[in-house]
Amino acid sequence: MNNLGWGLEMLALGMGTVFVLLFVLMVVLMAMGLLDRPSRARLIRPRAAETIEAGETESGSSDTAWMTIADASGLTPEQIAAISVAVAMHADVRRKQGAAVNRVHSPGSRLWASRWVSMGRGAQMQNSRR
Amino acid sequence: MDAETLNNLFAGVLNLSWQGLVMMLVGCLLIWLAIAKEYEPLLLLPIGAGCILANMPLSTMMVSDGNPGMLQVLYDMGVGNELFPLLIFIGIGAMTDFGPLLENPRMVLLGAAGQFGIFLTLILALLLGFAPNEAASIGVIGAIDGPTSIFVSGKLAPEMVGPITVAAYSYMSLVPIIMPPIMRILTTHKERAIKMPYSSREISQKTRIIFPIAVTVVVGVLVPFALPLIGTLMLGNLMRESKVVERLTGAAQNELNNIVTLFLGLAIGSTMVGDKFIQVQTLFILLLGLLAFCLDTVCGVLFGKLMNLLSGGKFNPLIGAAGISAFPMAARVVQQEASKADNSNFVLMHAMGANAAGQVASAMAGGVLLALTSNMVIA
Repeated sequence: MNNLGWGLEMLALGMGTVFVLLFVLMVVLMAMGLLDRPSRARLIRPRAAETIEAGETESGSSDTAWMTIADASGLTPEQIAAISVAVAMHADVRRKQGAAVNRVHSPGSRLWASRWVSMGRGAQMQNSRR
Repeated sequence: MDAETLNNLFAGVLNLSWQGLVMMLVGCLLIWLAIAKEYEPLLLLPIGAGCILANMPLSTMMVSDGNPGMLQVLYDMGVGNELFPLLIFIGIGAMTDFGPLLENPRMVLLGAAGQFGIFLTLILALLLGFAPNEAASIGVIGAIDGPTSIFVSGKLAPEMVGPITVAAYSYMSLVPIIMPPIMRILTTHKERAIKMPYSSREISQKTRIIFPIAVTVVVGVLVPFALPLIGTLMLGNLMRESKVVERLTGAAQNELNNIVTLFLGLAIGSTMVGDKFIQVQTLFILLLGLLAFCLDTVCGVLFGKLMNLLSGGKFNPLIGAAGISAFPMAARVVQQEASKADNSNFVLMHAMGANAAGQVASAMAGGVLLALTSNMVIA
């Protein structure tokens, strides 16, 4: 019965301490969160090329945007995104043309491995799998 | 050929014991679980191998010509002095992203609720006749955290490290099997389908760096006994978030963690020697460990229900179950159950926050347990 009393004491003390500790930690984290709020000055507002050239700042842009891609050549974010996708796809097509079957990695990233060695290694790995 | 030569030749066969044979079968079972079922293979496979090697007749892996053998050396090197669990914690810290927790600090309290099983199991173990230090060691299985279990039981009851470690890691791998039925019993379909809006908040690198330092200082000052666990966990995380020691972070995540896991597994396996392991007590430890896990889940879900009540029905109580330390399996299971109730329900990020909190909370609970029982054992 003594042991049971000790156990109950451990339960109350132990869980109490764990809760208090984690509550303190929660308060610390919340305080850190408050201090870490983004300041308005850090927001990069979207600017069109014309306004950049004119040295003007566009007013009334969304405060919720962290960063908007803008370009001095006058391309819109949509155009930049489309060009990025096209470049990535082109690189992918070139990679497949260069090594149709076996090369998974970017050209030049595995200078030590020839196409045939890579293929052999791949086949070996496949064999060992169930 | 004289009798002594014959004895030497057949020493292995002559010294076979039934306990040794049973433990070799147990070792084979662990290896089978690791390979066929993929239950924590990184640890169960070396533990199984260590168990078989230690139970061989006249195992020279344990003692060789009066000198400690390889397994004994590994045990003395890292388990007896608690080094290996702490090194593993550096690796875990380097692999863990505490971002979801930093985004939603309220989830920290769910981590605390997930530790109830430790203390409830401690009471049950006392009722079954275990000594207080043994009961505390068994209870710590409820932390559902291998390194914490090894660290605490190694200090409080070193003779029980073997079964406690096996129980802790086995049940961690059974998270997807053990947790869902409990979660379904304790919650209604409507509760499981509660959707919680999630708005991602960018956490600056400054905050990510301050977090491990702040946690170490807060815990180190308030509960010094938890400092080894929390300090190493946060050291790994600091290396990760600083982004200036990529090589050290990579080494902690890969080489260090892999080597220490192998050594730890073999050393733990070597403690599973037949005459000490085959006891009714071992069976109780395994059963109580399972109970501790279930109680953690129950208390987590109940705490989730309390938060649901306080929030006016906006909190999904399933997230409470993620407050245990099994990271990130517990969060994944919570998401699966929420999806089953409503396939457009996405609570993973909330659950990850609670799960990361469970990671910190389990290390804290281990330290608190050591602090409360220190006068009994630690001289």
